Amino acid sequence: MNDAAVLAVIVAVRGLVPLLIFRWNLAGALLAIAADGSDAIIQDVLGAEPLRGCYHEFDKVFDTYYLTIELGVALRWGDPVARWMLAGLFALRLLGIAVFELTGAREVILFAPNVFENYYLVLAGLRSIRPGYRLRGWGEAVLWLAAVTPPKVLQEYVMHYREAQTWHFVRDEIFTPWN
Amino acid sequence: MKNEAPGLAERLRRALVIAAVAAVVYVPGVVTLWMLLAGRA
Repeated sequence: MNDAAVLAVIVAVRGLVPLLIFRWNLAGALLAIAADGSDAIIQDVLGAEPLRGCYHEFDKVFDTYYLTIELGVALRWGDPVARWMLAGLFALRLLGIAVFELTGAREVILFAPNVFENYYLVLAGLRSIRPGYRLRGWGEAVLWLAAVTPPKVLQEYVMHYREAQTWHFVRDEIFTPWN
Repeated sequence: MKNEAPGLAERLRRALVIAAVAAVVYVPGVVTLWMLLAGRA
Protein backbone atom coordinates (compact mmCIF):
# COMPACT_ATOMS: atom_id res chain seq x y z
CA MET A 1 0.00 0.00 0.00
CA ASN A 2 1.25 3.52 -0.66
CA ASP A 3 1.74 6.16 2.03
CA ALA A 4 -1.52 8.01 1.31
CA ALA A 5 -3.66 4.87 1.56
CA VAL A 6 -2.00 3.78 4.81
CA LEU A 7 -2.43 7.29 6.23
CA ALA A 8 -6.14 7.19 5.30
CA VAL A 9 -6.55 3.88 7.15
CA ILE A 10 -4.79 5.22 10.25
CA VAL A 11 -6.81 8.48 10.27
CA ALA A 12 -10.06 6.55 9.82
CA VAL A 13 -9.26 4.20 12.71
CA ARG A 14 -8.12 6.96 15.06
CA GLY A 15 -10.90 9.33 14.06
CA LEU A 16 -13.88 6.98 14.16
CA VAL A 17 -13.15 4.49 16.96
CA PRO A 18 -13.20 7.12 19.78
CA LEU A 19 -16.78 8.06 18.81
CA LEU A 20 -17.79 4.75 20.43
CA ILE A 21 -16.97 6.32 23.82
CA PHE A 22 -20.23 8.30 23.63
CA ARG A 23 -22.25 5.08 23.52
CA TRP A 24 -20.01 2.77 25.58
CA ASN A 25 -18.02 4.86 28.09
CA LEU A 26 -15.64 2.05 29.06
CA ALA A 27 -15.53 -0.27 26.05
CA GLY A 28 -15.23 2.72 23.71
CA ALA A 29 -12.29 4.06 25.74
CA LEU A 30 -10.58 0.67 25.68
CA LEU A 31 -11.04 0.47 21.91
CA ALA A 32 -9.69 4.04 21.54
CA ILE A 33 -6.54 2.92 23.36
CA ALA A 34 -6.27 -0.05 21.02
CA ALA A 35 -6.68 2.33 18.07
CA ASP A 36 -3.98 4.55 19.60
CA GLY A 37 -1.56 1.63 19.62
CA SER A 38 -2.62 0.46 16.18
CA ASP A 39 -0.85 3.08 14.04
CA ALA A 40 2.62 1.58 14.44
CA ILE A 41 1.18 -1.89 13.83
CA ILE A 42 -0.80 -0.74 10.76
CA GLN A 43 2.37 0.81 9.31
CA ASP A 44 4.31 -2.40 9.98
CA VAL A 45 1.64 -4.68 8.51
CA LEU A 46 0.82 -2.56 5.45
CA GLY A 47 4.47 -1.83 4.74
CA ALA A 48 4.44 1.97 4.54
CA GLU A 49 5.40 4.71 6.99
CA PRO A 50 3.38 7.84 6.24
CA LEU A 51 3.94 9.10 9.81
CA ARG A 52 7.71 8.97 9.50
CA GLY A 53 9.14 12.12 11.05
CA CYS A 54 5.83 13.47 12.39
CA TYR A 55 4.53 10.57 14.48
CA HIS A 56 4.60 12.36 17.84
CA GLU A 57 2.68 15.40 16.57
CA PHE A 58 0.11 13.19 14.83
CA ASP A 59 -0.25 10.99 17.91
CA LYS A 60 -0.72 13.95 20.25
CA VAL A 61 -3.52 15.41 18.12
CA PHE A 62 -5.50 12.16 18.06
CA ASP A 63 -4.73 11.42 21.73
CA THR A 64 -6.11 14.83 22.69
CA TYR A 65 -9.15 14.18 20.49
CA TYR A 66 -10.21 11.01 22.27
CA LEU A 67 -9.30 12.29 25.73
CA THR A 68 -11.51 15.34 25.08
CA ILE A 69 -14.40 13.02 24.23
CA GLU A 70 -13.80 11.15 27.51
CA LEU A 71 -13.78 14.40 29.47
CA GLY A 72 -17.03 15.49 27.80
CA VAL A 73 -18.64 12.18 28.74
CA ALA A 74 -17.34 12.30 32.34
CA LEU A 75 -18.62 15.84 32.87
CA ARG A 76 -22.13 14.45 32.40
CA TRP A 77 -21.78 11.70 35.02
CA GLY A 78 -23.24 13.85 37.77
CA ASP A 79 -20.23 13.26 40.03
CA PRO A 80 -18.86 16.63 41.23
CA VAL A 81 -15.63 15.25 42.74
CA ALA A 82 -14.85 13.18 39.63
CA ARG A 83 -15.67 16.17 37.46
CA TRP A 84 -13.11 18.40 39.19
CA MET A 85 -10.48 15.68 39.43
CA LEU A 86 -10.79 14.70 35.77
CA ALA A 87 -10.96 18.30 34.57
CA GLY A 88 -7.80 19.07 36.58
CA LEU A 89 -5.92 16.04 35.26
CA PHE A 90 -7.01 16.83 31.71
CA ALA A 91 -5.92 20.48 32.06
CA LEU A 92 -2.55 19.41 33.48
CA ARG A 93 -1.99 17.07 30.55
CA LEU A 94 -3.04 19.68 28.00
CA LEU A 95 -0.78 22.28 29.58
CA GLY A 96 2.11 19.81 29.59
CA ILE A 97 1.65 19.00 25.91
CA ALA A 98 1.41 22.71 25.02
CA VAL A 99 4.59 23.56 26.97
CA PHE A 100 6.38 20.57 25.47
CA GLU A 101 5.40 21.54 21.92
CA LEU A 102 6.50 25.14 22.52
CA THR A 103 9.77 24.42 24.30
CA GLY A 104 10.69 20.89 23.21
CA ALA A 105 11.60 20.09 26.83
CA ARG A 106 10.80 16.38 27.16
CA GLU A 107 10.93 16.44 30.97
CA VAL A 108 7.69 18.46 30.94
CA ILE A 109 5.88 15.25 29.96
CA LEU A 110 7.05 13.67 33.24
CA PHE A 111 5.37 16.44 35.22
CA ALA A 112 2.20 16.22 33.16
CA PRO A 113 1.64 12.48 32.63
CA ASN A 114 -1.58 11.25 31.10
CA VAL A 115 -3.04 10.15 34.44
CA PHE A 116 -6.39 11.47 33.23
CA GLU A 117 -6.80 8.40 31.03
CA ASN A 118 -6.18 5.88 33.80
CA TYR A 119 -8.45 7.79 36.17
CA TYR A 120 -11.23 7.92 33.59
CA LEU A 121 -10.90 4.16 32.97
CA VAL A 122 -11.18 3.33 36.66
CA LEU A 123 -14.27 5.50 37.10
CA ALA A 124 -15.86 4.23 33.89
CA GLY A 125 -15.17 0.69 35.13
CA LEU A 126 -16.73 1.40 38.53
CA ARG A 127 -19.76 2.92 36.83
CA SER A 128 -20.02 -0.11 34.56
CA ILE A 129 -20.11 -2.38 37.60
CA ARG A 130 -22.33 -0.10 39.63
CA PRO A 131 -24.31 2.33 37.44
CA GLY A 132 -24.50 5.79 38.97
CA TYR A 133 -21.35 5.23 41.04
CA ARG A 134 -19.94 8.44 42.54
CA LEU A 135 -16.72 9.15 44.41
CA ARG A 136 -17.56 9.53 48.11
CA GLY A 137 -15.27 12.50 48.62
CA TRP A 138 -11.78 13.84 48.04
CA GLY A 139 -10.25 11.10 50.22
CA GLU A 140 -11.43 8.38 47.85
CA ALA A 141 -10.53 10.54 44.85
CA VAL A 142 -6.93 10.88 46.08
CA LEU A 143 -6.68 7.15 46.83
CA TRP A 144 -7.60 6.30 43.24
CA LEU A 145 -5.15 8.94 42.05
CA ALA A 146 -2.37 7.29 44.06
CA ALA A 147 -3.31 3.90 42.60
CA VAL A 148 -3.28 4.90 38.93
CA THR A 149 -0.44 7.44 38.76
CA PRO A 150 2.78 5.34 39.14
CA PRO A 151 2.29 3.05 36.10
CA LYS A 152 1.49 6.03 33.90
CA VAL A 153 4.53 8.01 35.04
CA LEU A 154 6.73 4.99 34.29
CA GLN A 155 5.12 4.59 30.88
CA GLU A 156 5.59 8.30 30.05
CA TYR A 157 9.23 8.11 31.15
CA VAL A 158 10.06 5.18 28.90
CA MET A 159 7.88 5.96 25.88
CA HIS A 160 7.98 9.72 25.68
CA TYR A 161 11.03 10.84 27.66
CA ARG A 162 13.42 8.05 26.68
CA GLU A 163 11.56 7.62 23.36
CA ALA A 164 11.88 3.84 23.48
CA GLN A 165 10.00 1.80 20.84
CA THR A 166 7.54 -0.09 23.03
CA TRP A 167 5.80 -1.86 20.15
CA HIS A 168 9.09 -3.17 18.77
CA PHE A 169 10.02 -4.48 22.23
CA VAL A 170 6.65 -6.21 22.65
CA ARG A 171 6.89 -7.69 19.15
CA ASP A 172 10.45 -8.92 19.64
CA GLU A 173 10.24 -10.14 23.26
CA ILE A 174 6.64 -11.28 23.66
CA PHE A 175 5.10 -12.07 20.28
CA THR A 176 8.16 -13.43 18.46
CA PRO A 177 10.79 -14.24 21.12
CA TRP A 178 12.19 -17.07 18.95
CA ASN A 179 13.46 -14.62 16.29
CA MET B 1 -37.60 -4.11 47.82
CA LYS B 2 -35.19 -7.05 48.08
CA ASN B 3 -31.79 -6.74 46.36
CA GLU B 4 -31.20 -9.79 44.20
CA ALA B 5 -27.68 -11.22 43.97
CA PRO B 6 -26.17 -10.82 40.50
CA GLY B 7 -26.29 -13.89 38.27
CA LEU B 8 -23.29 -15.73 36.89
CA ALA B 9 -23.27 -13.76 33.63
CA GLU B 10 -23.29 -10.45 35.48
CA ARG B 11 -20.53 -11.59 37.84
CA LEU B 12 -18.45 -12.70 34.86
CA ARG B 13 -19.04 -9.33 33.17
CA ARG B 14 -17.92 -7.48 36.30
CA ALA B 15 -14.82 -9.66 36.57
CA LEU B 16 -14.04 -8.94 32.92
CA VAL B 17 -14.43 -5.19 33.51
CA ILE B 18 -12.07 -5.29 36.50
CA ALA B 19 -9.53 -7.42 34.60
CA ALA B 20 -9.66 -5.18 31.52
CA VAL B 21 -9.23 -1.93 33.47
CA ALA B 22 -6.45 -3.40 35.63
CA ALA B 23 -4.67 -4.71 32.53
CA VAL B 24 -4.85 -1.41 30.66
CA VAL B 25 -3.76 0.61 33.69
CA TYR B 26 -0.94 -1.67 34.87
CA VAL B 27 0.38 -3.80 31.96
CA PRO B 28 2.02 -0.87 30.10
CA GLY B 29 3.79 0.05 33.33
CA VAL B 30 5.01 -3.52 33.75
CA VAL B 31 6.18 -3.72 30.12
CA THR B 32 8.03 -0.41 30.35
CA LEU B 33 9.62 -1.50 33.63
CA TRP B 34 10.70 -4.69 31.84
CA MET B 35 12.18 -2.57 29.03
CA LEU B 36 14.13 -0.49 31.54
CA LEU B 37 15.44 -3.57 33.35
CA ALA B 38 16.36 -5.19 30.00
CA GLY B 39 18.28 -2.10 28.95
CA ARG B 40 15.96 -1.53 26.00
CA ALA B 41 14.80 1.96 27.04
